[in-house]
Amino acid sequence: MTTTLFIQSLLAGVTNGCVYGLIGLGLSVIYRGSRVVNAMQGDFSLVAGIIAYLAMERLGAPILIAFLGGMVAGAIVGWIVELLFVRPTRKRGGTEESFLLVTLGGAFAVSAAALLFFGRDSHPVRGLGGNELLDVFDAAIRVHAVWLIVLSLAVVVALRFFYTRTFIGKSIMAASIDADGATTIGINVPLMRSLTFLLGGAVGGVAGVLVSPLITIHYEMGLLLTLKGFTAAIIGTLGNPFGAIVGGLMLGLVEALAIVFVSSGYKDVISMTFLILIMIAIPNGILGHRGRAGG
Amino acid sequence: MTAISMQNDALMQVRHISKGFFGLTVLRDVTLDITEGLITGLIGPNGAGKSTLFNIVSGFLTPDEGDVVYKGESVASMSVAARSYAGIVRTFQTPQIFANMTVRENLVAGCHKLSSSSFLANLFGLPASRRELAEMHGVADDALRRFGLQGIADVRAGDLPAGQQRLLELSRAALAKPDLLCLDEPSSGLNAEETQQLRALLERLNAEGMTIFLVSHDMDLMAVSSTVSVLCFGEIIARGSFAAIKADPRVREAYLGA
Repeated sequence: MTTTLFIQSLLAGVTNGCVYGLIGLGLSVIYRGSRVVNAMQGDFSLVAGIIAYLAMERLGAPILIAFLGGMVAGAIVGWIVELLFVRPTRKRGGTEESFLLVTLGGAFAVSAAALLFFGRDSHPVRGLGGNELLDVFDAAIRVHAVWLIVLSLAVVVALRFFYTRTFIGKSIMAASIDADGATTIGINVPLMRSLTFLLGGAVGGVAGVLVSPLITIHYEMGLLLTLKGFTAAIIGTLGNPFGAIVGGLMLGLVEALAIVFVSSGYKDVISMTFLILIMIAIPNGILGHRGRAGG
Repeated sequence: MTAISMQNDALMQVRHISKGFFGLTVLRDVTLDITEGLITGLIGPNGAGKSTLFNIVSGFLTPDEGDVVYKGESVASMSVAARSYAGIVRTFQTPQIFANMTVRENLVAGCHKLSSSSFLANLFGLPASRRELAEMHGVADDALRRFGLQGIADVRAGDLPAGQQRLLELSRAALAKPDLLCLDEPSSGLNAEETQQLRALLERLNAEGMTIFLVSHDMDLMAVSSTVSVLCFGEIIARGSFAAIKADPRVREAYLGA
């Protein structure tokens, strides 16, 4: 194997890892704030990708406006999901399993709706920097992929700031850890849960508009992204957003190296085996039980 | 039975409350005053309905019949968070602290009602929200000193022993600006020394003007109450000073087992 090929696979691994990490980040944000394992996370990305595509291709919107529109669409879908599906389920005494099933049903519904309105074909989306490539030690990386990596890290830093330095971030954490305790000191717990989904939806939206130019938009991409993001979040200790990015990067790199050293056909087999091995060795993820307690 | 009379200086009036679950009546026509500026106690044997009444007062349950009047207005249909904003704050029999946050962060969260900056200002960390957060940290630091929690300010709340968790919950509740602080079995799990410290703390908070509604089976702690009501099988059977209640033969028979 040449050095160039190795670097190329590392770049692909980091790029994919950031995408998985962003999906996992959204999942963790929602789990951290509401204890809901949200199987629709990838669908927030699908909707965001479709909105960005339509804004650019049908309305001729500039790419940044289209991406912003996609992110806002992800946030709105997140908020609607909480309002229409999660909140009524919770009111009727739903458990974590019920939320998973409800959102899984929602994920299939969004996928079916995308098929109905958007068709079976894949749709290419323009990326930041068009199709320009950068040369890294003779390996090539798309300018858009560099933006993806930079913006993913920016989202992580912004979320860290949000949870540690803002009052509303602390209130969301408090409402999640102990709803009764939070409500008696005046925290509007249902509002905090809605904000959590708004935030998780926005993160899913960012992931969607950033990944769409790399993989094209397809009606089935939501569930596939959810699965990879879920793996990243589990490896990185579910409920810990920053672990999700680390988990995503680990997963992306394992996949990329598996393609180089084994075969692209075994990519998913190896990444899922990696997940199983992590789960056996450290069942609470790489950050352990404390990280999982999240809050 | 000691006469039950409504007082004009009642901060809260619990009026003719009845509550049942699955056909079983837990509270029957309960009437109770919580006098402004005093500590009002409620005792009763297990299963008397104390927790149900407490949950109705604090908004976690709605009564089947009757009304809860606070500062002259009915709050029976008000949410817990709305009651909190109105000044009714409670603690729990099992301390409901934010286990994965530090003691200081718990206290900062207790300042929630002091927040007035917008969601967007908060989200983007604008100067107004940063100033506000700095003020809340100041309030939390004061509370750390006031309640003797400085030494454990940065300890994860879930790692604290039961006594300190209870003190933290009480401190957090006190920061939430209560006019009426409702305490559910606050000495549960505390040793004798900690109970004495709690008693002194309640007396201090009360002396500072906080009205307290205290539900407890701990007779040592209950001695801080100005008035004690006795709940037995869903009905108030006596009310009076702690000494009078302790001497009441019906209370001794129903509750103290003597």
